[in-house]
Amino acid sequence: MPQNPVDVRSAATFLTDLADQNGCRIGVSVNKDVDLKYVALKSEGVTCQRDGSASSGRGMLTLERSDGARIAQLDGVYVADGIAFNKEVARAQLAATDGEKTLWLALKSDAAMHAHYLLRAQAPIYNRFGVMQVEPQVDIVTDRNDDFRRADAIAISIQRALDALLESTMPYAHTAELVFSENFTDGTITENDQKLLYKIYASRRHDWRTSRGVGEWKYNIQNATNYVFRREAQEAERKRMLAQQEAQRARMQAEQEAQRKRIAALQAAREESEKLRRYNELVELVAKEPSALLARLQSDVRYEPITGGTYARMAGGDARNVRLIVEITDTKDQDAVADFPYRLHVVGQRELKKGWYIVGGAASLDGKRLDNQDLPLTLIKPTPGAIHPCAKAGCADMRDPLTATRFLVGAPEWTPEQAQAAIDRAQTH
Amino acid sequence: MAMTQRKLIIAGAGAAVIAIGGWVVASHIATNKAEETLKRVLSDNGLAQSVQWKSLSASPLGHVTLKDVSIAAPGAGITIESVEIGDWTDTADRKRGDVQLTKIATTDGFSPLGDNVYARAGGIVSVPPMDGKLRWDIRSDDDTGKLSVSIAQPDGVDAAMDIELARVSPTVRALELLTDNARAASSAGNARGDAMASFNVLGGVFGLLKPLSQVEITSGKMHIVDRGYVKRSIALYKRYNVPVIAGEGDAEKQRNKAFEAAMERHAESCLKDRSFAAFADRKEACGSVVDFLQGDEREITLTLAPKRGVPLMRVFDGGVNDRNGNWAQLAPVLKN
Repeated sequence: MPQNPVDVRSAATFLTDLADQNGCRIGVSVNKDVDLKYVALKSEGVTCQRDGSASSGRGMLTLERSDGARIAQLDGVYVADGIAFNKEVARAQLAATDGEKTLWLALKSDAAMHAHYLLRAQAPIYNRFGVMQVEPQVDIVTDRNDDFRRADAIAISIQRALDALLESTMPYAHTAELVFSENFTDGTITENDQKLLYKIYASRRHDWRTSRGVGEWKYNIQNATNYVFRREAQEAERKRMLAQQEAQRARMQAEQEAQRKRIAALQAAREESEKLRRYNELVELVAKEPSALLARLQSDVRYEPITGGTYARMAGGDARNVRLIVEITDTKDQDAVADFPYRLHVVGQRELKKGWYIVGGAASLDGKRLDNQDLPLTLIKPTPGAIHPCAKAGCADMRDPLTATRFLVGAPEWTPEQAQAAIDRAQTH
Repeated sequence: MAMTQRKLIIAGAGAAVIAIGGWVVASHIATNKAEETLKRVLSDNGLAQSVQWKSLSASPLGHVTLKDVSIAAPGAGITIESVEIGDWTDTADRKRGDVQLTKIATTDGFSPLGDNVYARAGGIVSVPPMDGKLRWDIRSDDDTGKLSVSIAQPDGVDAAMDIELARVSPTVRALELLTDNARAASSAGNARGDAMASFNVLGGVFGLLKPLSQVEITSGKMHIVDRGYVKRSIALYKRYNVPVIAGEGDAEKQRNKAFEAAMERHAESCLKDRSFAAFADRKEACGSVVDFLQGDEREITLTLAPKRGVPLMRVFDGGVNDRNGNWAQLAPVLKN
């Protein structure tokens, strides 16, 4: 995980290398509005190493303008491997940067623990002149997520992280924020809590005289943030919410479905009730006058002497919808020819066999051809599906109210019992 | 319907123009300037462009024939194969004339009586051209008049009405005054006499009412011959208004039986119908009507032979039920 230190240094553009009065190189943070041509860095307590980079124990840095005026002075500065820090850092091995303000120092990589230990240092970007700030916060990148479900494993992880901090870089630290993450780029850098694993604060006694930490580390597990469990709890909550929503949706859907079925049943009951009404009407009609039923199945144009009725409109070129019981006896060109109830042509129905039919369609008059009574020939253009062959001569089968009702409602299997059942069903809903 | 009305109006206007024109022409036969005179009259009335004919011949005996007459109007027009005006007399004592129109048609070649609901009710749309005839003979010396109007519509009906009148002189005089005023009004143009002449015309029309009320019918005859219309109407009536039952035999036989039964009922109810009370032989009258309406007879004739003249205005006083008995005074007889 730790990258090439040279690459990291050149990517950390927020660090500016300035030479002190001894020509010793120190990385500091200088605001861009400071013109480096006219400033000079002065250091105290800093020693120059062989590679030209500075290193020190506690020291002081002063930034002066070329006219001698002091721009800033920082006391209690520690320089390690040519970079100035706010706290005592023994070495600065660069491991990574975000290129904006943060630098990570490599503390240790532990193959056994599947972990990289990094120290976070941040540039004080709002100051004109400053040094890298360490809290210190140790960022640990590891793939051992499950370790954070168990207290013993957590204790080991915490201890290893504190050891890494003390052993390599900050032996005198007395506080440490430990942040475990499963992904450096999308966890450590972005602080995306979906990729963080665990966060805890640890401390130990602070010797005020030496300003150094001493003794055993202490931490309170109760104040830690366990992202693994938190995420799982959130996930569980999300799933619970989803399940709740799903259940709600299913309930509403079921209600809607039930409502739809109720309405459909009511609608069906209404329709069946209407069919039943027509059926009963036909039963009564047949009881009074057996042949009246056939008349009920038919509708023809209306004729009035002198004024003509709807026939006059038809004679003027209109078509009128009719339904007639006809007897097909012949063909003429592409038409079937009927002689009952009067001579008429069923247009385009040459294939129709001789016999009795109920034909529905648009009736018109042919002004150029006369029928056998010297009247304009009647043409019926049948409505698709409206030619109903009768089972008996004279459509005698239609004298039965049930057959007639089935024909009128367009349901060959209809029975009054089924209709009544549908009505009863709707009432029980 | 609007089209039909327009055609009928044009036909009526055309007939009026022809009749007036005929009168004018006939009046000028002696001067042998009939055609010029007719053209001038039409021109004076703004009709020179609308009314045209192919040829006009006039004989000194009072016979005028116009061939291929056309009367144009926006959206429609009438053609008449020939217009004959004959038997012309126009003296102080006697006015007599005879106008015969042959093959009256619209510009599409059919009768102006066709292509309307009444024609369609007879089962046809395209009716052949019709003929028309008008005859009058009014004698002031013995105060009588005869009037004959007839139309002949092939595929339809022929209808003729002859009527003889008495006490016609006051009406004739009023008519003469009216035509004089009309002529004065039309020839006055924009001159000062215009308003007065028009006023006189208007007065003349009202002035007709009183003499008309004195006119008496002394005899009459109305004759109708079916030339297809009634026969077809009967067939249509049977077809659509007489129900037939499928499976109970031949449709025509069923219809005829039911129709005959219905006609018998009509005949019976006719005998009790008050509107037939005026007929002395009511049975004969009812039988004639029923025979005509069921197609057994093609003709029907109504004759009026009152013992003495019955004033025209009183004929219709009693309504169809003849409450005042005026119809009975006309002694009507209906026969086939």
